[in-house]
Amino acid sequence: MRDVTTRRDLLRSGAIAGTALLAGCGGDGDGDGGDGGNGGADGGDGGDGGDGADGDTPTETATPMSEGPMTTALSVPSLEFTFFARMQNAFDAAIEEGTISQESSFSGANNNSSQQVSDLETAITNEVDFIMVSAIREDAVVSTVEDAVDQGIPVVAIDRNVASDAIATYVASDNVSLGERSTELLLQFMADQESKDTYNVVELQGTTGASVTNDRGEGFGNVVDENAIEVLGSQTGEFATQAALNVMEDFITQHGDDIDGAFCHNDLMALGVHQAVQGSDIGPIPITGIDGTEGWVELFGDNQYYGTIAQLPEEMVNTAIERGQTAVEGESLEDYYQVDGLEVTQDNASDYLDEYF
Amino acid sequence: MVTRSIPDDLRRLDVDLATLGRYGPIIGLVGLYVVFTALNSRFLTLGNQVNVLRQVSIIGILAVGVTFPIICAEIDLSIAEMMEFTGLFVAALATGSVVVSSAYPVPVAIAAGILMGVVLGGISGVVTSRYGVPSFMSTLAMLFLAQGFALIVSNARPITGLPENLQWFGGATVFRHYVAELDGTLQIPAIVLVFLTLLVVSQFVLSYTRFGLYVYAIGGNREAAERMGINVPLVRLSVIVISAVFAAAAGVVMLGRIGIGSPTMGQGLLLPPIAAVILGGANLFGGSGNMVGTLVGVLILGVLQNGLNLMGVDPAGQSVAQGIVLMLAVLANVVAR
Repeated sequence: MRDVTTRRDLLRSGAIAGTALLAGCGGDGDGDGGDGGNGGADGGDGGDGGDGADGDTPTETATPMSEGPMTTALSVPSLEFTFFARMQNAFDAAIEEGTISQESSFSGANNNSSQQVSDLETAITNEVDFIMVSAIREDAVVSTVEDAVDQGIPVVAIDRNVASDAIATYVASDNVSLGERSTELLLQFMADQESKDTYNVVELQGTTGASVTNDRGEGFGNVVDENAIEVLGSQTGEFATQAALNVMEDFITQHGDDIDGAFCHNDLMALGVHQAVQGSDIGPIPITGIDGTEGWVELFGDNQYYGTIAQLPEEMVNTAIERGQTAVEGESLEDYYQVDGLEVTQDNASDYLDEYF
Repeated sequence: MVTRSIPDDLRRLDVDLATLGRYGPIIGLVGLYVVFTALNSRFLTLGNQVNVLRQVSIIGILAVGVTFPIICAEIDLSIAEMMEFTGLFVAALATGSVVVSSAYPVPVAIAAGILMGVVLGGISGVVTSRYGVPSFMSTLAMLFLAQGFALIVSNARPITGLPENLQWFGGATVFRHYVAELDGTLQIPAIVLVFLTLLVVSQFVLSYTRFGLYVYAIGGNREAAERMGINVPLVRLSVIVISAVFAAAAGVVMLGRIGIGSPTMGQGLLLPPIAAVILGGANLFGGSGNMVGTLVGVLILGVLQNGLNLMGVDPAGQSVAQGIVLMLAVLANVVAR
């Protein structure tokens, strides 16, 4: 008895799924399926919305295929970084608002490139509409990304680029300009603190080989070349507080009072530099970072010459989703969309914290 | 038997090689000191030497902890993430910021953190000792578990505003004295005291307690130890719990060291402690090793990093240098055996 019921259920649901699939394919074939998706996201009563309901099939099966919000996957290097955690929040919010479908998945790769490759392969297997990826290393995911594109899944690089022409577009802050602006801010702080002919700075670099590190370093270099800045030392702090702390202690041992300021490729390292300076006798020095990490900005109240250029991951995710949808619809995209950073100093620190945290 | 047939002078050479090998790690460390002192004028200053000790303390505490499982022919791969999670757990409790609504007193928070270490270490320990899952796998699973917990407990954000007394273990200086002859201030950071105390206690446990003897016995030959009547599962469980507790201690110390609880603070801290233990002459397959060796191994890694930083060697050069030194050091260890 039970066996029969099960089989009947199976057949029935198979028929429903089949109809739904057909309806879905029809929608896609029209080339209007994408538009319907947008309509659904905006309000749900676009003219094309009727397509999906044609077959009188249960809407939950038909929706993702034809006129519901698109399904996407976002792969980020690691959730340990607040920046990517904020991306996840924005991603979840997008699901909540119905901009992207419930099936959309978010993955953090624990800073492991092969893990990230598997995350992307899973997304391809799941046949998502488009993929967003923030690559751990710009060269490590190239072949997977190209596989996805070959199978008709556009890939949007977000925050960290992929070294391939296959990507649909790249949405990010311009890390070169972030590096430049943070270094300029540092220079301004150092000039405010003490007027000198040349300023001696140390640079705390991010993970060696990451495109962010290269770009932020380039921005730093650009400002250094144009101004009277002497670089006493550049060393990697791995984007992490404790590594930056060790490196800064060694910089202080080697250069001591000569250090006029420190430029860090991210704010977590700025926290380590702050800790090292506190534990030494070289006195307060200007320190700037990039990202706008909560814990770092909180220190600005007591430290006039601390600053950062905040990135806005929420805006990045939303822009990337928008561009990804455009790519699925087959419309042309620019190679690159810039999301500007926000300069945060003592003056606007509390406003910034209130708004984003 | 074989040595008897070897001519006298050759045998002496053999002995010399073995002796050389036994003291290989120390010779290597002294060698590093000589090289860096020659190349950099600030390396051998009092201040920098205190810095080196301070910088190696966290890796040191983790290394001392993981020496127990390694001697016992086990491994603990969860130390870095366990350190991160327990540290963040203590920070969350002490600040009342994330998972709890009100702040707990610091001693309570620390005790809870250590207890968390016991519980999590106990889980991977039981899975290993009771059900025979290799510790490589059970602690690897624990690595992911602890990492997830760390993100949950911190909400993936740095925890700031740690109470002053929580930062004592990692951040305070207990003794400060200006030494005129050396033109430097002798400081004894609390973090170094914690590290050295744990090291001495651990060496004592290994050398003078029955438990220490069992650890060596099981590491040397588990079957033989079992037939001798040693409670092998209990000892295997204990070494993994010990390692987890040391990781929890390292977590507390880390909070004071960096002044915040950071969800990235375990990053890159898994392999250095294990490498330090092996560098110090312990056998990766169990049965030999001691805390003094671990100290030497930790110092080799720390001095190398510090010296290269002072000389301004770029990251690529640092990696190459570290690779060469590690390769030579482990080669010396094996030749000595």
